[in-house]
Amino acid sequence: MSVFEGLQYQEPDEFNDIRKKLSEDSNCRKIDVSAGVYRDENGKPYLLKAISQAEDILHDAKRDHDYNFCLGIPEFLNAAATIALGEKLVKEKKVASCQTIGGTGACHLGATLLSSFCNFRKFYIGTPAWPNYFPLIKQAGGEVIKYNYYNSEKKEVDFTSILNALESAPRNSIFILQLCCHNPTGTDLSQEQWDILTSKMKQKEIVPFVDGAYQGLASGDLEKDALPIQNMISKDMEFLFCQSFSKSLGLYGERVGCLHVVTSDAKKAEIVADSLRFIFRSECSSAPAFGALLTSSISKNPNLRAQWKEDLEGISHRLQQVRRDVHYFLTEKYKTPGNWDHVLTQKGLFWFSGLTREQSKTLIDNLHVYLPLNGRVNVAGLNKKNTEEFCTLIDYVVRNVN
Amino acid sequence: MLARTSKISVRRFSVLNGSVHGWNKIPVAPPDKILGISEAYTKDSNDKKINLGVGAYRDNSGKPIIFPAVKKAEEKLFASETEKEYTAIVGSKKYQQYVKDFIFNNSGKDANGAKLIADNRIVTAQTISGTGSLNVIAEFLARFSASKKLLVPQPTWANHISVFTAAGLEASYYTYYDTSANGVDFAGLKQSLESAEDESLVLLHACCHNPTGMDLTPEQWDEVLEIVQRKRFFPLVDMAYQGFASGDPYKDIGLIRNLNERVAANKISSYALCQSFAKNMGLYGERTGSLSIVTESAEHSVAIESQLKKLIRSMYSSPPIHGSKIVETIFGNPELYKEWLSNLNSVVSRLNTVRQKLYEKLDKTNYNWDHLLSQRGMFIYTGLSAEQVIELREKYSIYATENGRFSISGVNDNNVDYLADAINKVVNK
Repeated sequence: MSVFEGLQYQEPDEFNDIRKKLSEDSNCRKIDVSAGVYRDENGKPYLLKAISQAEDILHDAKRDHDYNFCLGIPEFLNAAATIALGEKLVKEKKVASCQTIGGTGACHLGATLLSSFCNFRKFYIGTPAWPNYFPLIKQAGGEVIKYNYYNSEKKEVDFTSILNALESAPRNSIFILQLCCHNPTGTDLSQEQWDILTSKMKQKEIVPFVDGAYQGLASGDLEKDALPIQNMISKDMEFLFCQSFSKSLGLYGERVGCLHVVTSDAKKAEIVADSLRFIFRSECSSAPAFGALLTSSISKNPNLRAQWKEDLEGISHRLQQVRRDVHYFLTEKYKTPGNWDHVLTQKGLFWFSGLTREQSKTLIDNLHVYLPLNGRVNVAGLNKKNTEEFCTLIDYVVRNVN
Repeated sequence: MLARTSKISVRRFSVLNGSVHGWNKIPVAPPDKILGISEAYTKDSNDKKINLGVGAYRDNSGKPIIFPAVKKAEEKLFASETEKEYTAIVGSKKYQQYVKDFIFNNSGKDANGAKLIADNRIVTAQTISGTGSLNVIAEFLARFSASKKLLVPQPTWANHISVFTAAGLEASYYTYYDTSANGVDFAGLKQSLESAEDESLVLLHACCHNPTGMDLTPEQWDEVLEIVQRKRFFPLVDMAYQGFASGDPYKDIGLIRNLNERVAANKISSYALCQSFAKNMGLYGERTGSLSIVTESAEHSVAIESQLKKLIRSMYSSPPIHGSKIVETIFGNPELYKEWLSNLNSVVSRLNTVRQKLYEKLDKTNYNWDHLLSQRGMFIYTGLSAEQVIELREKYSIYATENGRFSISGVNDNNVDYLADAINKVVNK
């Protein structure tokens, strides 16, 4: 009799299979638009200048590797909360923050707090969504209720469906909402839609659970991308914000994230912080220091902050330029059948192309272009050297594959 | 986390009901004993204050150190790192390989372990240091182990119970230590293991038992593993202090070698190991550790790894790279590796010197302090009562956990007299 009698093989991971095919493809002109990370103009991983400079500073400063508090490095927590929520709320101490293992860790901690400690278990998720939400919520003890987020015909947010879901949701339900650069559709709510949504949520006593994985990548401006957060703060709402510096600072593997729980008063924030400490102590003891120290040293140094701003604008402008190039090739140069305006209106890394599974499959199997079968294109994988070729291949599958 | 939902909601959260301000109703969690002490220490203005609470190394001037080998590895990394891409869900292959070779193959000295590695019978995942490793194995066992009953030594690390029960396992104690005799209660230990349910899970501290510092002898381990084997327990080994018992990490893993031998002889089918580089490389805050599961076959390994990936993906996606790159740099460079072993040895030597000094200065007329010299690692398990510990804190600003565990690394040439004097006064009162 074995301890592991109950084990079974897991479903193969589609994404993993694509990565495997990609790594085995020896064609030097292969194009990778599958990953969820930024690539520079040369198709290479990109270390932000602000990060390189912060590493110089950290390297010169004497520091040790000692233990940190369960909740995280205080300087980091303060910087992270200010970036997410603004100075005013942080000064009023109406937020409980806990440093986490990247954005996934923040979502996990938030979901655990709500489902295991507050007995709020119904998590509403608009589809399509980041696929990891579903096992993550289940793992944390929550129940997932799906609704339609995106209208694939019109290639826009299905706002009626969102409002209907809200209408039917019992009080104390949780709505997971992506702050910006929606993964995978790249299609965000407008400020007006946010305003309608948050008013309804407040009225219906529904908890917003906001995932800010891409803050800064939509407009290139951290504050502008966080306007929906200010909207909720102005309405005195309680909500959770899951923050990640994976994308906005390119710190991916360093795992820098933070959960912020905004409460109606400072006293509640204290007790929430206490619970977060309790949960985190038994899962991780504390979060890793290095990336958090880089983040806080950027935040407190005006020169580095300016550099970060410039870096983010650079990233955001490059992504927008790629989108314009794709649009130009598909519409003006190759006159590919269909409407391609959504490549311009969608934000961030992802262009939810609308290519069919068969078309995507053809790209992967025959044309050395790698993307998930849902047709999500990471435009950061494109650059001056490969965009036109990429577009000719899109043109080909659109014309020849159903 | 179905186990967590069903079990804990009854025990811990039944007072809650859904109200709009959900977090208004959260009960205050018990304060963390160890980290709470650090906070109180920080606030104390007495310049003679001593922190004996946290299990992190301090040098003779009371300061945290960076091992010189680690510093050099960090320099190399600083000069060469060009990207910060995600590592794999279970860490890089390189990291896994180094860990396996270091621990199971004992870097070429354990033929049984080497065979287990070659036969693909060890699954290794990089984790969020030791706590993260325990958390992942606890979640894993809560899902897939037939038995949810976990036996832990009395006493054990304060956080063990929280980690295991949060994941839905039922922890209960087995006898380990006799407080009145300040030593291992071996007869009691065997008896309580014998009387436990067959096929239970059992937590074993590989070395430098936390908090008592009192380890089993190789002969005693043999006897314990006989029981483990006969009763078909699943051994879960926690190894936070590899190297701190003898100063040599290869000497401190007798338990692992013994287990490997039994696995090779088909007497024990599988076991798990939680390990970290927090102490022996001083990587505390960088959160660098691993979980390894020795499996029954290569086929089991594939299934187990896929389940670990699924679990980790939904908790934190992937582990942090800074610490693991340091580990990879050290293991990949023979010079640095040698230097690290020597750094570790000096650290442990200092602890042993201070232990000896403190022993010499303690008044033995009314209290037998001999146990202090048999204990190993970062701690002295003094045997002082909670009242005495509180008196030390309130009168002398000496901070330790109320179970009487003193972290020896907080002691140095400058404060050993003050400390011994305070202990003598409290004991002789």
